[in-house]
Amino acid sequence: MSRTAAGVTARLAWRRTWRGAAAVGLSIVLVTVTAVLGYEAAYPDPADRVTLARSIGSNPGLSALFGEPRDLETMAGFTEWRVVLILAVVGAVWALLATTRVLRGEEDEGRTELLLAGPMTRTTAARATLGGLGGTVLLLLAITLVGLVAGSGRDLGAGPAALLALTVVGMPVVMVGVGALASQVADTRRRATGLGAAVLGVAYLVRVLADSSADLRWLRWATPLGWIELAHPLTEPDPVPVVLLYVLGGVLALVALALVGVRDTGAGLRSARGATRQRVRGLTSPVGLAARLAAGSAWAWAIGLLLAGGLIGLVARTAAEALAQSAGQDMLGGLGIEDSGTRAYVGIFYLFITIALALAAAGQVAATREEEATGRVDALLVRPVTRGRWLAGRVVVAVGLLALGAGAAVLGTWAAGRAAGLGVGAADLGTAGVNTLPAALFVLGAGTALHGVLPRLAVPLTYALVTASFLLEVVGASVGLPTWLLNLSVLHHVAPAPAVDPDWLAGAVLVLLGLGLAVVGAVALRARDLVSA
Amino acid sequence: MAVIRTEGLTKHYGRSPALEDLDLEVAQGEVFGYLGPNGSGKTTTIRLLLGLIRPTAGRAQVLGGDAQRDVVAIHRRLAYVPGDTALWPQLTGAETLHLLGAVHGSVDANYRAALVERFELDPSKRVRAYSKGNRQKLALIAALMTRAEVLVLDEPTAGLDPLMEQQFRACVREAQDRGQTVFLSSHVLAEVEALCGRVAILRAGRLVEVGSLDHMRLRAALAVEASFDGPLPDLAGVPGVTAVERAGQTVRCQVTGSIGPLLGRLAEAGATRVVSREPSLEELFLTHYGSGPHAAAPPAGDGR
Ligand SMILES: Nc1ncnc2c1ncn2[C@@H]1O[C@H](COP(=O)(O)OP(=O)(O)OP(=O)(O)O)[C@@H](O)[C@H]1O
Ligand SMILES: [Mg+2]
Repeated sequence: MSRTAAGVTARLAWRRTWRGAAAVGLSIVLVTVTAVLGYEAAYPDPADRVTLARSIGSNPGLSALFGEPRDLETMAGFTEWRVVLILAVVGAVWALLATTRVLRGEEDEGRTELLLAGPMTRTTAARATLGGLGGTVLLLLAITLVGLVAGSGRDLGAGPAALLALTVVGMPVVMVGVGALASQVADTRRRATGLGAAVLGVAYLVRVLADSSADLRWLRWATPLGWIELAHPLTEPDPVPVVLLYVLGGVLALVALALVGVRDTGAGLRSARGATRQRVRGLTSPVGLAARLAAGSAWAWAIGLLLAGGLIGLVARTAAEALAQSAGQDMLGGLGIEDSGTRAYVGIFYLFITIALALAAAGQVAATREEEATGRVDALLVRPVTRGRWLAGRVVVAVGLLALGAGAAVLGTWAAGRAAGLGVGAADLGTAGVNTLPAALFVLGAGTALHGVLPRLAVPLTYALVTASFLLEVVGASVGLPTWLLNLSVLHHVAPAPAVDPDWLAGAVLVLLGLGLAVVGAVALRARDLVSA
Repeated sequence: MAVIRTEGLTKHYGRSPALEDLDLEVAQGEVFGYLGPNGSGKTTTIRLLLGLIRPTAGRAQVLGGDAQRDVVAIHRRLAYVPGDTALWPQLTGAETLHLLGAVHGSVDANYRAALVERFELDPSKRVRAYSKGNRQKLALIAALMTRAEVLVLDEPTAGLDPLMEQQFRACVREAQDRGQTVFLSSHVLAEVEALCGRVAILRAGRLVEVGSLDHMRLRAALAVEASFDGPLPDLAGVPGVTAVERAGQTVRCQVTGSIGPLLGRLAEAGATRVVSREPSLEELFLTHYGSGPHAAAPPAGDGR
C-alpha cells in the first residue's frame, strides 16, 4: 500500500464511501432477485402473463414512469421493465451524494486544506479522491455482478444477468462524473448536490418525454437514462449504450479534473459574489434565519415541481385516451385505481410528486443537521434561544417549503392542463396536492426524531427511509410482497388522488405520527450534547 | 457574589475524561484567565457553562442560574466568543450582526457601529469572503456589542493581528471598568498577563492551580546562580533546592519557599557573586503545563 499523501487521500475517499456502495449493491441484487422470483410466484399461468402484458403494454402512463415495456409475458421482459430504470436511478442518487461528499464536503469542512499543505497539488488530490471513489464503484459493480449472476443467473442466463449489472451500475458511473463536475462548478457541497440532482431530474424528464410518444423516441439518445433503456440487457442486449454510459462518466470526471486547477480551494467557478445588497428584513429571529437559509432550496424545489406538474398536465390527456382503449386494468387495479381516465394517470404521477416532496423533507433534515454539525447553531444557542425553539423554527420553515412545493406542482398541472384540455378541475388537483403532503410530513418528523436521537446517522437513515419506501412501493406491489412489508412503506399509505379519493384518515395518522416523532426529536435534542461533524 | 460557580463539574467522552471534578468560582467584575495545554479541557468547561453539552457529574451555575436549565435567562446576560467561529457563509457581516443582535435582545446601534469602526471590519462582505481574522472580529463585535454582564471568551484573539489584539485588550479593560465579568481562555500568555487578575491552570482535565498572578509568582521557584573562586559547594540536601546544575565555576539551581538556608550555604562556601531572578510568566506556566520545569523542551532523540 502506498504511504504517499495521494494514497492516504484515495483511501480516505474509499473509507467514507464503501459502506454505502455495498448497501446499494446489495439492494440492487435483492430487488432484482425478488422481482424475478416474485414474477413466477405471482403469475404462474401463461394466460395471466399475457393479460398483464397487454394491460401494461398499452399504458403510456406506466411506460412514462418505468420506460417502454417489451416482452412482458416473459420473466426477462417483466424484470427488465420493472427494475432496470428504477435501480439505475437509486444508484445514481447514491453516487451523486457520495461524490459531492468526498470531493466537496471535505473541502467545505476545511479538511482538504490540511492535505493540500502536504506535497500534493489540488489536481493530484482530486485525482486521488476520484481514484478512491473509483474503487468504491468497482466494489458496487463486483457486488452487483456476483450477486445477480449467482442469484438470478439460473433464471435469466449468466450473460444477460451480467449485462444487467453493468447497465444498472452505468448510471452511478455517470453520476460520479456529474457529481465531480458539479463539485467544481458550485461553491458548496449542498449546491453541488442540488446541481447534480437537477441534472438527474432533467435526464429523467427527457426520458419521460421520449417514451411518451413514438415521434419522440429519438430523444432517448439524448439522455443517459435513455441509454439505460436502450441497452435492453435481458430482452435484446445492446452493449453500445452501456459503453456510452461508462465513457460519459469517464469524460465528465476528466473535465472535472481539468477544472480543479482553474478554481480556488473553497470556492466554485460560479463563486459567491463579494460585496452585496444587505437584506436584513425578517432576519431577527431563529425562524427568520431558517427561512432565509431555506429560500434557495425552496425556490429550486418549487420551480422543479412546477415544471414536473406542468409536464403531467401536458401529457395526461393523450396518455389517458390511449389508456381508455387498453385491454385490462389489472395494473391500475393493483394500485386501487378503478377510474381509467385522465385522473388515473395524474394519480400515478402524483405519487412521484409525493416522493419528490419526501426527498425535499429529507433534504431539510440534512440542512438542520448541517447547522449543528458545522457548529453554526452554537451562535444561536449561546444566545437566549432554546434548542426547542430553534428546532421548531427549522421544522416550521421545512413545512412551508413542502407546502410551497406541493402548491407549485398543482399550479403547474392546472396551468398546463388548461392549455392541453386536461379536464380535471382545480379543486380535484388541489386535493391531490394536499394528499402529497402527509408522507413528506411524516418523513420530516421521522428525520427530526432521528436527528435528536442519532445525530450522526440521521441524514443517511432519513434518505434510506425514503428510498426503502420507494422501492417497496414501486417494486413490491407487483411482485406480491406480503402486506405487512408493504405497509412499512410510507408511500403505501398514500392513495393515488385524484384517481381515487384521498385516504384522509391515513393522511391524518401520518401527519400526527410525524408530529409526535418531531416532538420526540426535540426532547432528545434537549437532553443530549451538541455533536459536531 | 460568584458569577460563575462549578461544583464537581465532570465531563467524560465515552471512557476518556475531558474534565474531572472541577470546583471553580469567578467573582463579579473579575477578569479570570483560564489556561492549560491543548486538550486539557478548557473548551469543554466553557461548553458546559454555556449549556451546549451535558455534564457527566457535578453542576455549573452562571449568574445564579443553572447552566443547563436556565439557558434563556442566563444567555440574556452573557456573551460568548469561540476560537473558531462558524457563521452562515451566505450572510454578510452586517446581516449577521443584525441577526445576532436581534436574537440577543436590544443592541445599541451606535455602540455596534463604533465597534465595527474600531475593529476596522468591512460589514458589507459576505461571511464566506472574510479572512479568518475578519471572521473572528465579527464574532468579537457580535459579543461585545451586547454589553453583556458576563463575557465568556475561548481563545478570542486567534488569528487577530497585533493591532487588533491591542483593540481587544482595550475592550476587555473597558468591560472591566463597566463592571462586566470576563472569563478568558487563551494561549497568549502576554494577553493573560496584561488582562487577568486571577488565573486557573488546567492539566489533563484537572485543575492544578488557581490564584492571583502575583501570588503564584511569589510561590513559584526562584532561579539562583552563584559563582565561586574555589570548589563548588554540594547543594543537595539544602531545603527547597531543586534542579542543581554546575557549569565551570558557577552553580545554578531553583529554590522554592524560604531562600535563607540556601543563602547560608552559599555564603559559607565563599560565593563571589549571587544572582537571582523571578521566573518569567512563561516559565511559571510551563512548570504547570508539562511535568516539570523542562518538560516543554522536545524529548531527546526525536528525529522527525
Ligand atoms: N466531542 C468530543 N468527543 C470526544 N472527545 C472530546 C470531544 N470534545 C473534546 N474531547 C476531548 O476532551 C479533551 C478536552 O478537550 P478541550 O477541547 O476541552 O481542550 P482545550 O483545553 O480547549 O484544548 P485547546 O487548547 O486545544 O483548545 C480532549 O482530550 C479532547 O480530545
Ligand atoms: Mg479549546
